[in-house]
Amino acid sequence: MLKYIYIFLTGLAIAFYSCSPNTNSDSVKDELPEIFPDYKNVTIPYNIAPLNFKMQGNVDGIALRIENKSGNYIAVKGTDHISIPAKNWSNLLELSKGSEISFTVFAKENDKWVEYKPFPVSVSADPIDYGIAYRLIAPGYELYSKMGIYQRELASYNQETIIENTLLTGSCINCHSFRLTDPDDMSLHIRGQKGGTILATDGDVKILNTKTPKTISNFVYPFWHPSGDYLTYSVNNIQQVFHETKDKRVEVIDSESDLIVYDVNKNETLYCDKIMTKDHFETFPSFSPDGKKLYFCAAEAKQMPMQYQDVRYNLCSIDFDPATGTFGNEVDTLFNAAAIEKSITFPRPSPDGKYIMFTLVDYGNFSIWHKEADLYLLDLESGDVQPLEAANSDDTESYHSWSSNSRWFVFSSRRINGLYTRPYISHLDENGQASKAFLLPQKNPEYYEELLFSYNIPEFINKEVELNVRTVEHLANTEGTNVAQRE
Amino acid sequence: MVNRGMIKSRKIGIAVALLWGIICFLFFQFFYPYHLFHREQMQLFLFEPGYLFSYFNKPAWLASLLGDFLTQFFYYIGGGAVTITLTLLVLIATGFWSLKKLFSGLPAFTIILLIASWEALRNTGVVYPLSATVALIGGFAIAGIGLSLKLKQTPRVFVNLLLLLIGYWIFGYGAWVALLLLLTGEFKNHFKIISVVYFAVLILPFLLRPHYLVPLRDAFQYPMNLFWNTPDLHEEEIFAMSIESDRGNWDEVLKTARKYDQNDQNATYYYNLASSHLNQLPENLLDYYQPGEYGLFLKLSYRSSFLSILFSNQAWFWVGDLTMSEHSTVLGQIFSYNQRSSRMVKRMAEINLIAGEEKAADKYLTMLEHTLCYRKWAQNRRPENQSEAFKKWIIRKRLNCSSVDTLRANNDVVASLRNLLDHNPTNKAARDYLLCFQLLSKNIDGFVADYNAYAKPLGTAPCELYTQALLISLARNNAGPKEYLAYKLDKSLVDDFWKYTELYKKRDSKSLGEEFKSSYWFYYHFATIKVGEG
Repeated sequence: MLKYIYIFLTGLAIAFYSCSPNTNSDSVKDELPEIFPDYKNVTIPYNIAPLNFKMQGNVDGIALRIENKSGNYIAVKGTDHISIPAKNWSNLLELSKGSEISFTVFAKENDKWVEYKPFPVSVSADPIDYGIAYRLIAPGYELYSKMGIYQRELASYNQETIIENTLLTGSCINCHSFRLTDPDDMSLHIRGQKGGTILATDGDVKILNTKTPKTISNFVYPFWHPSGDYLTYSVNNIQQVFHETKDKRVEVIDSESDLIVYDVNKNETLYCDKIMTKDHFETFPSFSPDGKKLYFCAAEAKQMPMQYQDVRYNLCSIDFDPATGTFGNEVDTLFNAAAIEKSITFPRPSPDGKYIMFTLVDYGNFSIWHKEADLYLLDLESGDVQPLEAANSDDTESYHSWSSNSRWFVFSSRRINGLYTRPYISHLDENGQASKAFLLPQKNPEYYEELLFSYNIPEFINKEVELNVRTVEHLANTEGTNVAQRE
Repeated sequence: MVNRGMIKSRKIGIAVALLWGIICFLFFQFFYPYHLFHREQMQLFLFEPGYLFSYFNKPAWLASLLGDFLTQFFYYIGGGAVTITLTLLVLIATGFWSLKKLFSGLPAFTIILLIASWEALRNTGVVYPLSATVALIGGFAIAGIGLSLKLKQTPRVFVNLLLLLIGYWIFGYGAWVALLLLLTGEFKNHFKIISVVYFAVLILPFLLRPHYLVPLRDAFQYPMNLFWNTPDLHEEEIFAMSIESDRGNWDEVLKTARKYDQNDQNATYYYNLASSHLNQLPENLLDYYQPGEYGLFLKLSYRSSFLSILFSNQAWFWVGDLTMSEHSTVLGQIFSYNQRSSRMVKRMAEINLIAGEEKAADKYLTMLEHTLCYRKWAQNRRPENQSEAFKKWIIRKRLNCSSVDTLRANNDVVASLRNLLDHNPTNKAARDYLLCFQLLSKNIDGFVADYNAYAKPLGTAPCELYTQALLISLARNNAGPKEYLAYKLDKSLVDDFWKYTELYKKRDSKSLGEEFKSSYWFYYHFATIKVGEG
């Protein structure tokens, strides 16, 4: 009974909310409005911040009516963009879980209000995690200046800084990684004069010197074991080279690369000859949700950079025994991308163990600057591989991360202007079908237009990251702990 | 009598301050204008709520906001000198007002005049923000307000502490000026122990530093970044070339380079760039200091100076390598003050307009439309507003851009230029840059190969510089008359070459220097190539 009273009262509150928009139009257009960000026909979680937007092109005013199937509505009016009241929005989404809400946009054009064709937005009953963590970095190469790692609460517009390199002058901060979206276990590299690998485990923070005599570099691309007892990293000899034509810009290539597993409790690096071969480049490791498999990308080694276009990575796996920290004897190829003249990057298993999502490109492993880069889904049960067509675009889709319930994925895409990556979120239904992706909403939709930084490595987090910057600053100025190697 | 004396003193004070202001204006207007243009180009002030709110993320938000707002006016001719002078006069007025509450007129006036002179000198620093001057003004204003309070000591101390706390929040290091003056005031008013409460403001940088994410030193001195500076007229000359090149005044760039004749890699870079724009690169090349090939393309590395990084996009843009030009521009952008540079954003807009990447160009044009100074520039470059001349410029630039893709390292200049010439053999800028690059790096075989590939097919006689280099190659290879004839060499230069060779064999360096100092032969034998890091 109380529930119904609550729903009634909330519905009433929403229905009466108004910024007095004049939703009486002078004319009706039988076309959908051109809005930025494009939120038409997207699927959103019920706990997402309001989808503020603006009209593309010049208008003298804009109004919006959002209505659910029960007739509850919000009406908002703005001058250059729509700013939806957060409380009413969240109430409306709560009432509309599992169904659609309809957006009717009115634009004032030449002193006349024009009503556009309404479009639906699906409100999924699947919740999304607390937030995402990402790096903001200018899309430069070779040299770097200011950068930082930030967290954003998804139910609001709050962005907090986790760490910025203004605190550690001259350093590069990269490759933040969390265990199954839990920020209590975090790995982060600080490169430069100061630094090492910051490892936070349940409140204990330390800095590691990760180069060992047996590895070719410091630890690079990370992934946590679900138990939190291990991390897997690639070790890579990386080189940056430039394309002559502008649409491709830059290529980052490995002249060598291997994989290792790091034992968090024993501070030891575990090796396996099968994933440290001379005749293959191995990179982008990840653990299966049960912790018994190590997925990775492997390509036949080539002369670099001369044969860069011939380097094609397949999706492979090897068994891993977390109890003993030992590896299986066989490397399995799960998807032979080279056979279809393609290459795989960033294999990421879904937490429910059903899928692996990866990025597919024509060659190499630097998918972030490949326009053809798209997201694909491997069904681990059937072995089927399908592109996530609704989420993909004509431009780059690259780094991606799963929500803890395997229903959402966030990824970076260059679709807005081909130059800056922005975070998009898409829903995956129980049949493995992705919805049209939506751009992470911002309070002011012009936020992205004036931002000269790219979103890099968006990762879901299930709660706020609490990294004490004073501790990190102190650690970065101290001698780190040398990582041992298991003999 | 006293009043008349005070009025007279005040008039003298105002006259001295105005005279000081005139000297300041004249210096910045006539001896230092390009520094000020440059400072404006290193920021991008947007009239956008999101951008304006971002000032709250760092200390001294009000000083930074006002300082950056005022810096915009450096864009206009005379605007920089006027803005700095007026700001410093405000500093004198505010400072005098507050100091007068502690000292008598003459000492107060002398102190503030010295401070203003010190501040004027600091403003000659290329990275010194005007917001630091505003912070000082704010500090004096807070001190003046605090010293004017007619309250009993205990409430006064706490009100002043509140003023100091607010002062740090809005004026950053200006608060320390206020602290000093308020403490001096307390000492003059029979210091009591309660006044140590003022020192509580010193905790603020420690407390707010994790929020602002700045090192402790920055937390205390924000937005100020240098304590002392003196004018750098050498740098002013470099900025003169840089700014005039940005305005397309290539004659002026060449004239400035020749006038000052600096042994500086950046000066050579602009000399060569201007020569190329004026179609005189090989003709002018050896008339100027050449630090090897580094005067043609500025090297990008961790050891490069910011100015070299900033300038480096221009040569790439000129020859048509948009990838490298964009790469350099982005680096110039991210190393500029607050990672926003109006000049770099303009260049990014141009690069993307030429590349046909309309959405990316739109981003930069939209940003520029939100500025005071570049709104019109951006609007005129919108596809719907472009003039015929601009459309033709885009077409010309597009002709030079390669459509054939290969990979290369960033410092592989030769690969880039060859690729551009393979795509468009009529790209004279790229051809001259390639041939001159080979010559300056003393790669005669590379030069001949490239000359044969990209210049010889044109069928024209080589210019003097190229003839001299070809003669070295022909002599080294004991070429026959037929090979000499194939290059259509100027006979008088051939004679000169034999004369040079004779002198060289005799080790007659005096005659060589006198007669052939500007020849490639002399460069080839005697120039020492320096590793340029800018």
